[in-house]
Amino acid sequence: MAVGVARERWLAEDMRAAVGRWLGVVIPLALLVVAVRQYQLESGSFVYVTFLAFVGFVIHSLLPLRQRLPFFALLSLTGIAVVMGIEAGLWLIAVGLVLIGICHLPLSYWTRVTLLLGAGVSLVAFRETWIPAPWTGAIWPILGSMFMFRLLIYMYDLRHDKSLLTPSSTLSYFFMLPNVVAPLFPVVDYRTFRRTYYNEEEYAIYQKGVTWMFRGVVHLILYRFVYYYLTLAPEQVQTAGDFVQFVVTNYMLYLRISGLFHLFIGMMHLFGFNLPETHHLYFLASSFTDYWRRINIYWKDFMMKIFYYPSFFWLRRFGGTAALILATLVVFVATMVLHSYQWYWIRGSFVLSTPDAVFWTILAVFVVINAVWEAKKGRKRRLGKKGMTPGEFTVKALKTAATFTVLCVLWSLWQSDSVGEWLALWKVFGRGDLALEGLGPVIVVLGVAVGTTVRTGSGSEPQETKTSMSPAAVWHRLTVLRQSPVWTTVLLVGLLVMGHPRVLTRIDSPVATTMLSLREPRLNRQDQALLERGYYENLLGVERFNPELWKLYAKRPSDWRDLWETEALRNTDDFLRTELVPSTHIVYKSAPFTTNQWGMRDRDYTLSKPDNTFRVAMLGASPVLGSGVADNETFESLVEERLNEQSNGTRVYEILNLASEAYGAPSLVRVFEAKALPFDPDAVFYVDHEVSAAKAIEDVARRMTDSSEIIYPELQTLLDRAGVRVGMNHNEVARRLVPLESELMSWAYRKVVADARAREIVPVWVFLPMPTPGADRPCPPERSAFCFGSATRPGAAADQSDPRVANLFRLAQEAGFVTLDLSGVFDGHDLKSFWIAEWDGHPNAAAHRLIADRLYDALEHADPTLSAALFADRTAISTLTGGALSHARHEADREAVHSRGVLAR
Amino acid sequence: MPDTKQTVKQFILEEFLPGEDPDELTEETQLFSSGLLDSIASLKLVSFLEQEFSISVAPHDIVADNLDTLTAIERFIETKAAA
Repeated sequence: MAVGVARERWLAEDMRAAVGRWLGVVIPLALLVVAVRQYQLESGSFVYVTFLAFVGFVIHSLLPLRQRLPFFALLSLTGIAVVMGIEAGLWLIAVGLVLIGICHLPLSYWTRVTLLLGAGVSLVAFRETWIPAPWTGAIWPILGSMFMFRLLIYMYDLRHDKSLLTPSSTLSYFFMLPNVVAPLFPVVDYRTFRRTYYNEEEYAIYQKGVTWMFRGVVHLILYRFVYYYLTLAPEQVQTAGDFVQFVVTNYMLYLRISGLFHLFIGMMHLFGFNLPETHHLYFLASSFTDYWRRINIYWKDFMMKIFYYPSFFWLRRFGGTAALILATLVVFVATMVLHSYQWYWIRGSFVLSTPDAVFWTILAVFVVINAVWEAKKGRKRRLGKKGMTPGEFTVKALKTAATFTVLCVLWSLWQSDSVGEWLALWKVFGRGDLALEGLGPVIVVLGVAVGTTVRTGSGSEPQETKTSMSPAAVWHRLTVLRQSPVWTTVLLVGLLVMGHPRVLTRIDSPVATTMLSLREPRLNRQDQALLERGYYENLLGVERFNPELWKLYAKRPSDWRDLWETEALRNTDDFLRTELVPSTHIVYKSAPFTTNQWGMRDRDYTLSKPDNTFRVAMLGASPVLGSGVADNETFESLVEERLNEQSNGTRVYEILNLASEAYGAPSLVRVFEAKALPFDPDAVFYVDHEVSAAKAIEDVARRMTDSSEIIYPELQTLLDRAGVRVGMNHNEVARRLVPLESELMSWAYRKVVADARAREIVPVWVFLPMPTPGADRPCPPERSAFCFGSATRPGAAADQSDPRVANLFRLAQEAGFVTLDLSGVFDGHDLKSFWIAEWDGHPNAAAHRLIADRLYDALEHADPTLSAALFADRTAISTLTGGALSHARHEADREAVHSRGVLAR
Repeated sequence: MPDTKQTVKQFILEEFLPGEDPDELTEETQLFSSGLLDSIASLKLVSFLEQEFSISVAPHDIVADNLDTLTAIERFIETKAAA
C-alpha cells in the first residue's frame, strides 16, 4: 500500500516536473510569437511561420520520438503550401521532389551529378523565361535558397555516407520549416543536421532554441534602431565623426542577418535539431580567423567541407604551408563566386562588382596571414573556462578593437557602389572637426573593449567560491540565471510591455516615441529617398545591400519599371540629358502614360497660342508628371479642366505639363528656356517639394559624373567655388554642394524669374509637399537634404515649419516669384494611403484630386493679383511681372521664334 | 591499441594546449564542437594521425563524428586501421 502511494506520488511529481519543463518552453515561445507579431518583425508570412512553429512544437513535443521527424517534414511542407499559396507551394514542392528524385536514381553517382547539372540548366531557362514556366516567379528565391547549396552537400554526403538517409530526414532537410520565409538561410550541413538530431536531452535543446530565438528578436529590434536612427548615406558623410558613424552603423546593419539566423536555428531546435550556434558575438572577434569562425559558421563549415579540405589534401604534396595558403584562397574565390550564384537564384541577376572583388581579396589576404601565423606560432587555447590576467585582457581588447575597426572599414568598402565612391569618403579626414576625428575611433575602441570585458566575463568561471560577492561570481550567477526559462520569460514580458502602444502612448518621452517607432517596419530616410529617386539611374546599389528596399521591391509587379527603363524617356546630347519621347503611349507603373507631339505628358497643343487663351507652363519633376496615375488623373490636367469649366468658354486655359522624371533645378531652368518659351506662356508654375534642393544637387552631380557641359556661366562659377569638377565622384559632388544648396536654388529661381519677366510671363512658385510622413527623429539641418516628410514634425507632411521649406519659400520670394503654398493638402488623412503603391511614394489619383482642388483654390483666392491675372486681367500680369519693357519683350519674342525653329526641327 | 588515446592526448596537449592541466582533457572533452580546436588544428591532427598510426585519411573523414573526442578519434583510428 505504502509502495503504491509512494509510486503514485513519484509519478505525480514526475508529471509535475515534466509539465513544468514543458511550460518552461511553451510560455516563452508563446511570448516570442506575440513579440514577433507586436514588433512586426520581417513580413506577415514570418509572423505566420512563427505561429506555425509554436503550434507545431506543442503537437511535436507530445508525439512519440519516432513520429516526430515525419511530423516535422509534414509541417514544413504544409508551411510551404500555406505561405506561398497552394498552387505555388505545390509547384515548389514538385520541383524540389524532382531534384531530390534525381539524387536517388539507380544510376552511377556521376550520371546523377550530370543529370542534376542538366536540371539546373533547365531551371535557368525557366528563370530567364527562355521557356515559359508554369509556376509563379515568386517561388524562385525560396526554391533557390532550399536547393542551391544543399544539393551540393547532400550529394557529397550521399557519396560518402548513406547511413544517414531516410525519406523524412531528406524532406525535412530540404524543406525545413523556417526556410519558406527566408531567401537567405543558413547553409545547414546534412550530416550535422542528422548527427545533432536529439543528441542532447530534449528540453535542453528546446530551451536553447527559445533562448536563441529571443536573441534573434533582440538583434532584429536593435537592427531596426540602427537602421532608423543611426545610419548615414555616403553623401551625408561630411566630417570624420560622420565617417566613423557611417562605417560602424553600416557594419551593424548585419544584425538583421544574425537576428534572422538566430531565429531560424532556434526554431529548428524546437523540433530536436541541436544545430550549432551561429554568429556568436561576431562583433567581438579578436582576429580574422576568429571572425571567420564566428560570423556565419554554417557557411564556414560548408566551405571547409566542399572546398577547403579537398583542396588542402590535394595540394599538400606541395608542402603544408603552400597547401594552407592555396586552400584558403580557393575558399575565398569560391565564396565570392557562390555569393554571386546565390544572388542569381534569389534575385535573378548575378552580382559581382569591383568592391566585391576587392573586399573578398583583402579579407582573404588577412585570413591567410592570420592562418599561416596560427599554423606556425599556434594560438592560445584554454581548457575549461578561466579568467584572464590584466595583460592578456589588454592584448585581447586591443586585438578585438583592431579587428572590429578593420572589419567596419572593409564592410563599408563592400557596400559601396564603387571603389571610387568609397575612396571619396576618406577625404573627410583633415577637413573635419579634429576633436570629432579623434573622438569617433576612441568611442569605438572603448565600446569594443567593454564588449570584450563582457565576453571575457561571460566565459569565465569565478575563481572564488560561489558564495563570493566578487564581480566574477556575480557574473557567474547571472549567467546561470540567463540560461533559465524564467529569465527569458521575464525579458520577453519586459519587451512586450515596453513595446505596447497603450503603455507607450501614456509616456511622454523620447524613449517612448523611439520604442513606438521600432514597432513598425518602414524605410529609413535614406531608403525613402532612394525609393523616391531610384528612378534616376540605377546607381545606388539597391540590388546588393538593401534588404529593406529589396523586401519592398520584391512585391513589385515585374512590369513596374522606372521611366528611364522604358521607351518613353530618351537621352539627349544637350544640357537636359533626358526628355520624354514625343507621341508615345506606354503603361507606366500600371497606368496609361501618353505623350503628345511635343514630348509633354499632356493632351496636344498648337505651338502658337490661340486667341483668348491663357497658357501656363508647368515645370516640375515626377509628382507633376504624374508617376503612376493615368493621363487624365494628373493634378495639372484636373486644374486645367476645372479652369475651363469655370470660364464657360469666355477664356481658354491651357496648362502645359513640361515635367519629367529626374529633373532638378538646373534641368528646369533649361526646360523653361528651351521647351516652355516657344509656346508663349502667360505664366510659369514652378513646382517644388521639400527635397527639391537635394534634387538640384543630384542633378548637378550626375552632370559631373557624366562629364556633361555646363552651359550657364553663373552655375559654373558656383561649381568652381564648391571645388566641383567634371568626372568627380557622385557623392563627393553632393558633399561639396550641400553647403551651397541655397545659392544653387537661388540661381535657378532668379534665372527663371528673369527669363519670365523679360517676356511678361507671371512667375509662380508652388510648394507641393510629398505625402510622406516625417520621421520620428528630428532631421539635423546639415543632413536635411534627404529627409522626406516634415523634418520637424514626426508623422506629418512637410510645411513651412520645416526649415528647408521655409528656406525655399524665402529664396523663391527673393527671386520674385509669386508663391503658392499647398502645405496641409493631405491633412486629416493617412499619408501613405496617398501612395501609388506600398513601394512607391508618389501621389496617387486621390492625392492628385486633392492637390488639384487645393491648387485651384490657391489660384482663386490666395493672391488677388495673381487671381486677377489668371482670370482675365492683363494689367495684373503687368503688375506681377514688374512692368513689361517693350524692348525686352521684343528681344524675347525674337528668341522664342528662334527656339520654335529648334523645337520644330 | 591501448595507448592510442594517450598518444593522441599527449600530442594535443603538447601541440595545442601547452601549459594546460592534462586532467582537464578527458576522453569526452569536445575538441571541435566546443571550439577548442579549429580547422587548422584539425589538419595538424590528421597529419599526426596519418604518420603515427599509418592510416590514410580522406577529406570527408574530417567530421565531428571521427575527431570530436579522444574516444571518437580512437574509434576512427581503429576503423581506418582495420580497413
